[in-house]
Amino acid sequence: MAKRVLIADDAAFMREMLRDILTDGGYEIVAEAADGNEAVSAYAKHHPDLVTLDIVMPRKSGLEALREIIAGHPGACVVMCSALGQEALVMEALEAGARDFIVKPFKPDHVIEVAEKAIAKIGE
Amino acid sequence: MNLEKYRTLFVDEASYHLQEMARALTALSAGDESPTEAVDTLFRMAHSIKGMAASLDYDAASSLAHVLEDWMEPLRGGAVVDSEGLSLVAEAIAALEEMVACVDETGAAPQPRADLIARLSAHPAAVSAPSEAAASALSAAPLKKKLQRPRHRRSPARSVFARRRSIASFPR
Repeated sequence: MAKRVLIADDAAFMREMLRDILTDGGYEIVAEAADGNEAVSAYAKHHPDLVTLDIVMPRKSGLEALREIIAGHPGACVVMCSALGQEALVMEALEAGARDFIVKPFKPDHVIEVAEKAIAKIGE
Repeated sequence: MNLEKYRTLFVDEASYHLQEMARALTALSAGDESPTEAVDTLFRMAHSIKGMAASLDYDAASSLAHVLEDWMEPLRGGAVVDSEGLSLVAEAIAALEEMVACVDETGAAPQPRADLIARLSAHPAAVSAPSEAAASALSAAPLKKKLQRPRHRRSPARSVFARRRSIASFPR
């Protein structure tokens, strides 16, 4: 059974790119979110196996959304999407409970590798 | 990768972001909007354009958006910008618009704007409160003039409103 993914990014371009990469990799996209608030709501509604969470988003940042998701669902499997130059924020996210991170621009093989490893960590 | 699909997404979304950046910059200059909100909009939109452009190997657009994003960073911490800085940001937005137009009209990667990047780098955002003279220089008029450059033209069906609808209807 395909693993279910929630994609959160304020850029439709990036959501579409992740959707294509993950769908090609055998994942099912159950929801997309365009800001941190939507991401938190969508997580509560769908309980996906994996969340890709952009760090820079309007209304509620990826980091704030991560903290809320983890607080409500400590086992949540969240991978942060970052850009070069956001190392400090990535470290903060990892300390807050993110499983891993992907640096933009996305490389399909790397995205799938990170997704697989993050999901494999569930239950460890 | 379906390049044509992503090229279209890039043009649509970057165009919308650039309109929002121009609006935020005008509001920042005129004091119509909270500086925090306007600066946050400018920062996020530049960040987003950087990521999209990098995904399509449009290095010129990605580099300029990256420099602009970095340039905005001190402003997010509460620093203020002088009129020359505002003009530079307006010029960077216009240059990004021309790059998006280049992609839209020719499908080719835009040409770099090393001159503009150098000027942005040479004129960092102010890090302290402006003098009265600088504050009074934050007049909206000259900035509005800069931002009233012709937007990149597309067919009527791809008007601003069509683009807004297009963005709103992106798959979610």
